[in-house]
Amino acid sequence: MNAPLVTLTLHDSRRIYQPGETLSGQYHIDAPEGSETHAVEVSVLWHTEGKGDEDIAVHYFDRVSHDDRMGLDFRQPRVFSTVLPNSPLSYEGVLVKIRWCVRLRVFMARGRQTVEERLFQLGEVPPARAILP
Amino acid sequence: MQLARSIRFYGKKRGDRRTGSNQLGRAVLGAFSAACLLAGIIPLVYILVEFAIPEWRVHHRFIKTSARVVSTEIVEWEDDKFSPRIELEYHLATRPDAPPLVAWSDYEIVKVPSRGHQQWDRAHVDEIVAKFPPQSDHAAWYDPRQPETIVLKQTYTWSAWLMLLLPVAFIMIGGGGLVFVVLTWDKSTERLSAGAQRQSGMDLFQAHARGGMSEQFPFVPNPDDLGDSPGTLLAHRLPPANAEWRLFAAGAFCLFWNGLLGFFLTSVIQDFRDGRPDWWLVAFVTPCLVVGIGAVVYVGRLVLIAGGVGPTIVEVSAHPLALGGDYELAMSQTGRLRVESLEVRLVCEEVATFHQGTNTRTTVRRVYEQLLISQQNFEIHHGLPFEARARLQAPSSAMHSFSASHNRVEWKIVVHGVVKRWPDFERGFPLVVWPALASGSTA
Repeated sequence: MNAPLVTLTLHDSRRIYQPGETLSGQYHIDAPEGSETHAVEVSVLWHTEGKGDEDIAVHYFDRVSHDDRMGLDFRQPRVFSTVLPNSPLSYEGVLVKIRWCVRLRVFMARGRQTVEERLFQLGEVPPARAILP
Repeated sequence: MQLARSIRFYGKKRGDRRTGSNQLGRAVLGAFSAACLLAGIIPLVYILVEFAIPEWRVHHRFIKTSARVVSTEIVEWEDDKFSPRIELEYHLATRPDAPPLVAWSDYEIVKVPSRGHQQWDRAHVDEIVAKFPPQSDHAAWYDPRQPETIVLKQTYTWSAWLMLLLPVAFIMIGGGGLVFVVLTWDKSTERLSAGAQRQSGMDLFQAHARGGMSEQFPFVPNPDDLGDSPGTLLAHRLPPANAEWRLFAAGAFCLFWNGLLGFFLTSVIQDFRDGRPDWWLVAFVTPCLVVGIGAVVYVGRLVLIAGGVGPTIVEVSAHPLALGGDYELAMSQTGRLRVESLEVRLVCEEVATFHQGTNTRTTVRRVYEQLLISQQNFEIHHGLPFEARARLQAPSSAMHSFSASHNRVEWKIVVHGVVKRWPDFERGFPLVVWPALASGSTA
């Protein structure tokens, strides 16, 4: 079965946002014939990468599914918007890295899922470097 | 427009780590949990049916009577496995005037194959049967539901009751796992995370409703958690990192290790005295002895530092700090010391906790330090503490304090001292650093 064509765009094509600013965007899904989209989740979240186990926190979450609303047409653009928090800021550390992104998760028939992400940076913390003892 | 990537079935690489597909992972967890549950239920049912319930009924439901032995026999129910059978004549308590009932008793309620190995021994069975000569009277207990079921012994198999703990543990692990799988089935990581945040009171969907300063900066530690203590030199006194725990933990380990070592050492010494040294035991004990001596030296060093070097006080003009802010720092060191060098630094460290097999490990990496105070070759006299002040400029281009379950960015003041004829000491004073956004409001 072909993957659906997912379009996720942020309204201003900036990569760096400041705390308190509004991040907004829109998405739509063009599913091929026979691949029915059951639900879509859009999240604005941060997660860690690096040496430690992954931490994740969701700042904004919205789920739209056929169970809640009949007759949904995911081909029509849907808009999301959120005011970004003061922390944690994006960080490129040595052991700890914090990445912010908009994640769109599409749930299809037979449990298949597709994920689309747009990374962005919250704040402007420069990368860290290890200090040798 | 971009073609989205499908979830890989077996997993995907993220940073230095491979994360598996949620569905597959949960399916595996579900299967494992179900296996655990089954592994708990089967022995639990066996123990309940074979031991716990029958023995409990003998004590609480069976009716006591007096039974006369009619005859006895020894049954070999399998090769070299014997059991006693005793024919009894007894009156039912509910029908004392009715003719007596005659029935065979297996002596106790636990079924013969479930009894311990030693119970099947011929000599043991002979001993039991010898206690019940024909025509002798004995106390017996019969089942009111089935009066022909009668036993001559009321007992509990304590080992079986203790064994209940094992299946119960399996059931708890398996049941908990299954509940988790059911609750999280077909739910994305984001949906679960959002739900967990709601439940823990970190509802980011209602950020406007949150008032306190700590909530202004999500995932930045609450400065109140460090304790708000007013200073005598400056506005805020920073609490020291809890060093007593290190001493306590090291002391407990030292006692445990050397206590255990003592048993082996006694045995080694005794062997040498007897002129029959066990060299394998010597080879085993020698490295353990080295660790034991090392633990004693380490604990001794901690005790010397705790007792010999007086308290260190660190105070700041404002707390929490904000990146880019200008502050004042004061420190005071008491004791009676000849100090070769004393340095005070503002330090930022990344702390990452990760699982490696069944172990949980933590790695720390220093990513920022600023020397605030450096003093060489001076003496501290009793009752006359060493005091110093410095300007503390929080860097504007660094990461703020951050705390999540497995990853942290920690700021602290570190005091490092080199004292003549004394172990070096290092004391940390954690502090909270907010993003630059907050500067001006605190400095």
